[in-house]
Amino acid sequence: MHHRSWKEIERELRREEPVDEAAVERIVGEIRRRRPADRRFRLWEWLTRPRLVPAAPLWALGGAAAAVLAALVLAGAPRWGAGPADPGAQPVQFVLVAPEAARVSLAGDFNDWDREATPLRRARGDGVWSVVVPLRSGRYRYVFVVDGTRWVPDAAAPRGPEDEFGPSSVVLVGGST
Amino acid sequence: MSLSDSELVRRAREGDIDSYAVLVRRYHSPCMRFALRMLRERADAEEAVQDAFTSAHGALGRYQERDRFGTWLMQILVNRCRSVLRRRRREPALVPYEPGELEDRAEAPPDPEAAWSGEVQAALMRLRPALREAVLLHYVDGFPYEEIARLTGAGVSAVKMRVKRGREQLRALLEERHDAPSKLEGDRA
Repeated sequence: MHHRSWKEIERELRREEPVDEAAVERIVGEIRRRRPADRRFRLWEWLTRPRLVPAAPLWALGGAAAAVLAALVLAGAPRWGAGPADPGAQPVQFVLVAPEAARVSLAGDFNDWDREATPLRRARGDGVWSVVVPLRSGRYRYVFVVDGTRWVPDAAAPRGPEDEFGPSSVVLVGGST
Repeated sequence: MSLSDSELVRRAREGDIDSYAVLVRRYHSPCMRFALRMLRERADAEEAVQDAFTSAHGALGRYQERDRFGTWLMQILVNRCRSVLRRRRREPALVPYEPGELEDRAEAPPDPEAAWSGEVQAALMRLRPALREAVLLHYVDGFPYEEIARLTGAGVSAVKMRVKRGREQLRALLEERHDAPSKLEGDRA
C-alpha cells in the first residue's frame, strides 16, 4: 500500500478553497446593514460628484445651500470608529503588577482578543499597570499581553475553563454566570 | 492594477465598504480553508469566517499599520474557531461518534483523490485542536513560529513542539489508515 509523503500531505492541506462569491456577498451585505455611516459616506460622495446640471441661477444657489447644509450634517456625524458611550456598561478595572514589562495590554472576548486594542497605563515607579474598560453585564475571558508576546492570566481572577489553548481568566460583570 | 491591503484598509476606515469588499474577496478563500480544516463542518466554518470579517471591519479603527492585514485578520479567525470548538465541547453532538470514523467507508467516494482528501481531513480532526491549529498556521498559511506564538498566545517553544508533534501524529494517523484498513473494518463490526 502506497504511503503518501509529507509533501503530498502538505499539498492536500494547502489545497485551495474555491472563491465563494455568494458568501462574500453575504458578508459584505451584513457589513452594509450594520454600517449607517456608509450611507452617509455614499450621500456625501453623491453630493460631491461633479455633474453638469442645467439650472437657472436661483435654483443653482438653492442647490449650493443644500450641499453646504449636508456637509455640516455630515461633519457633525460620529467619526468612524467612535461611538457614544454605552449607557448599559459598567467600568471594570484590570490591574497587573509587572515591573519588568515595557508594555502591557488586555486581550479578551470584549475586544476580539486584539492585543493592541486595550493598552494598560503604568503607574509611576511601582510596576503596576491598569486600565478601566466599560463592559456590559456578562462573562468575559481575557488575558494580559506582556510586551506583545507573553499571554499572562490574571492571578487575582478566577481561571477560565481548562482548555488546551492556554490559560485565561474570567470576569463576571453584573452578577452573570 | 490592484490596490494594496494598506490602501484598501485606509479607504475602508474612511467608510468605503467597496474597498473592504475587495479585502473580503481577497482573503475569503484562505480563511475558509483554515476554518474548514479546523472545524470540518462547513456551516460552522462559514459562520466563523463571516464573524471574523464583520468583527475586523468593526475594529478597523484599531488596526495598526505595522501589522499585515492578513495576519491581523487571522488572529481574529483563530479566536473565532476556538470559540466554536469550545461551544462544541459544551454542547456535544446528539449522536456521539469517533472523530476518525466520520467518513462512511460503505459509501466511500469512488474518486481516489476525494477519498484521500477525506482521509487527510479525518486524520486532522483526530489531532488535538492546539496541534491542528499549529500545523495549519505553519504548513498551510506559512506563518513563522514567532508569528504563530503571537497569534495563539503560546510561547515559541510550545509552538515548535505543537508543530512537530502535530506533523508526526498526522503522518502516523495516515500511515495507520493505509496499513490496516481491514482491521478498521473489523473494529466497526
